[in-house]
Amino acid sequence: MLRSERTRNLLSAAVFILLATAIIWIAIPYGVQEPKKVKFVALSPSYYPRLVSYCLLALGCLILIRSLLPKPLNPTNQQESTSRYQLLVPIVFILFLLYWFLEYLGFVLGPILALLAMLLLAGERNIVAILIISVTLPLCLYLFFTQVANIPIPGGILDPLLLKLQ
Amino acid sequence: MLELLSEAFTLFATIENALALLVGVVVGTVVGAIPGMTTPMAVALTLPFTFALPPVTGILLLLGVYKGGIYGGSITAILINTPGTPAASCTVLDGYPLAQKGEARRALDIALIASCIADFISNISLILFAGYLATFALNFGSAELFTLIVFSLTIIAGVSGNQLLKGFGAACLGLLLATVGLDLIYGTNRFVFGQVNLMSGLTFIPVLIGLFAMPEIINYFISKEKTTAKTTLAGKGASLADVKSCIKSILRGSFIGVILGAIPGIGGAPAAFMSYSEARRTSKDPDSFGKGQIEGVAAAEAGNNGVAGATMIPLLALGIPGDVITAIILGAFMIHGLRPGPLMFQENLSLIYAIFMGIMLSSVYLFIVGKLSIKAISKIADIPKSRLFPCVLILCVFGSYAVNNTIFDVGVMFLMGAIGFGMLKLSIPVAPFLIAFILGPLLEDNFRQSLLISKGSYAIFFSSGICWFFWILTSFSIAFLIYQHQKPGTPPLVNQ
Repeated sequence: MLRSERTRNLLSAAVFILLATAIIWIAIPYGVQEPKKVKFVALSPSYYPRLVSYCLLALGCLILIRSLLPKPLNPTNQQESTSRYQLLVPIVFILFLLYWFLEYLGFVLGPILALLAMLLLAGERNIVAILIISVTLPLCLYLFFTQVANIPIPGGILDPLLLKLQ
Repeated sequence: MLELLSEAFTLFATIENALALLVGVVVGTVVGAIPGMTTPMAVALTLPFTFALPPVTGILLLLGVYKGGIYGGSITAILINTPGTPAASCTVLDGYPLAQKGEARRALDIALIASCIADFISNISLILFAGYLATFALNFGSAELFTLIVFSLTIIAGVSGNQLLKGFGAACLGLLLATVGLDLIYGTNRFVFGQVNLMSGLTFIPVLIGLFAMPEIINYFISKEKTTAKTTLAGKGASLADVKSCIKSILRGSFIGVILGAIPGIGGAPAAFMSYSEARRTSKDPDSFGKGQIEGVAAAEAGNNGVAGATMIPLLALGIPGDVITAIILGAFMIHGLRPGPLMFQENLSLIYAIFMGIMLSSVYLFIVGKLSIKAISKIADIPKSRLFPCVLILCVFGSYAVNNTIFDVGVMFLMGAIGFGMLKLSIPVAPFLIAFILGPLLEDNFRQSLLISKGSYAIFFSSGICWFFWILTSFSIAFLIYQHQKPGTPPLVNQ
């Protein structure tokens, strides 16, 4: 996947061009609230983002042109695929679940479960290490932020238990 | 003056400050010594821990991580041929051959001595020059500030490596992201789309953590190759004769580092390579370089560390970051309600002097930490990544939440992580994105304020000698970087 430099450049150009076009023609008209009266065009709230978007568009076009021009192949840029992209699915799934249930589970139980899953996914097989790390790290961080830094961190369903701990 | 110094000393001389700096240096050295963990990542993850600390303590903690990280990068460069930071890539050239000869301890000792001397010289230059530059910058109006920021944005070219156009594209994205929230002049919504959390704009820390830590974590998980090299310390330490033979290269490298470090965007790696090539050019035995020449290690480390204090000159005097890490430190200043720049030299001089005192102490700490804990640090560097990266992920979650106490920021961090990962895979550098995101509001503010003063005339940007000076500097800077970029066979000016 994404082996050649040319593919990466073409994709980058496409991303820049698409984003710039979407910002100029969709996001700015619908997302920027213009005041009723503006002294000069350059002072309008949409002027600066529009200017930057045009620069982005121009850069995207430049990258596109450069990547379409015939160029001698650089062997160092032909990368062998050394990534297991299929693992992105469980990673995204775990992170999504963590975000979604973070408020309910709290910053101790949520991260404990996420850490368990991530350690297993990372290939860690030492069960004792997995359990110790998963429990102690979120708990220590929770205690540091709530007790030392005085930052209120939600404990979620474990709140009654954690309050006793403090 | 004496009153000011005593006030600064009172601000600085606390156990908390001394401890924070020490912890920072240790954390930085450890993280710098772990291949795959970068110094910007370490500074980013340390940032949330500074919220509850007084400004001086928080900034010193981050500076400790920065300085420790730069030195730490040389440990694995010497021991396992893997530079912990890009700037340490030059140290590999002679450091690893020395380790192979069984002289790892000697190489590490010289790296430490060179690092500490260069760091000290760099800190002195910061103390001497930052004040003068700030006094000069007091004459700046909004147009001059705008041209200065445009010039400082050319550092994007420096941090883009060999992806100059993509770097500028990433910078545009960063500038656009910085426009989210309320408009600076009219107070109307921009790209808020009814989301209340976006009205004050995107918070710096979740964006920072998402861009610098998350892509590395995801990349580790999906990577097939897992490095398992173990570090080994061998041989005797460096002798006085070794230090004497290297002192010329160390001093030369330190000054090269100071000069290059003060220029935004150059960074440690080019300074290390320039110092190395100078040492080789002036050596009586140039052929021994690259085969385990101790002077090569000293020169590389001196150039690399000479940058650390000097990058703080434009940051403190002008409010312009010299590299990615100082951009993060600029964000830290802002979080603590401080705005580096000429006005800070007028309003918070005692705080600046307190930071200077701490910076001087960091060189001493670096020496002590390096000397006493090298064995332990080289062992910590062997921590299995399968344990390290999942833990870093949880740190990211806590760090992102702690800024505003909102889970929305955790979501922003995950989203920025996905964007950062996409950028990594498309070889789009993330550093320009972050620098533009930080400098964006300042750029826009001064741009529009200037136009407000000139009633819409762009001539204001060419109205003073200072403006012209920065336009010329910007043109030279871009021309030089394009030349560097196009020249075949030259290593790109890549920052950390």
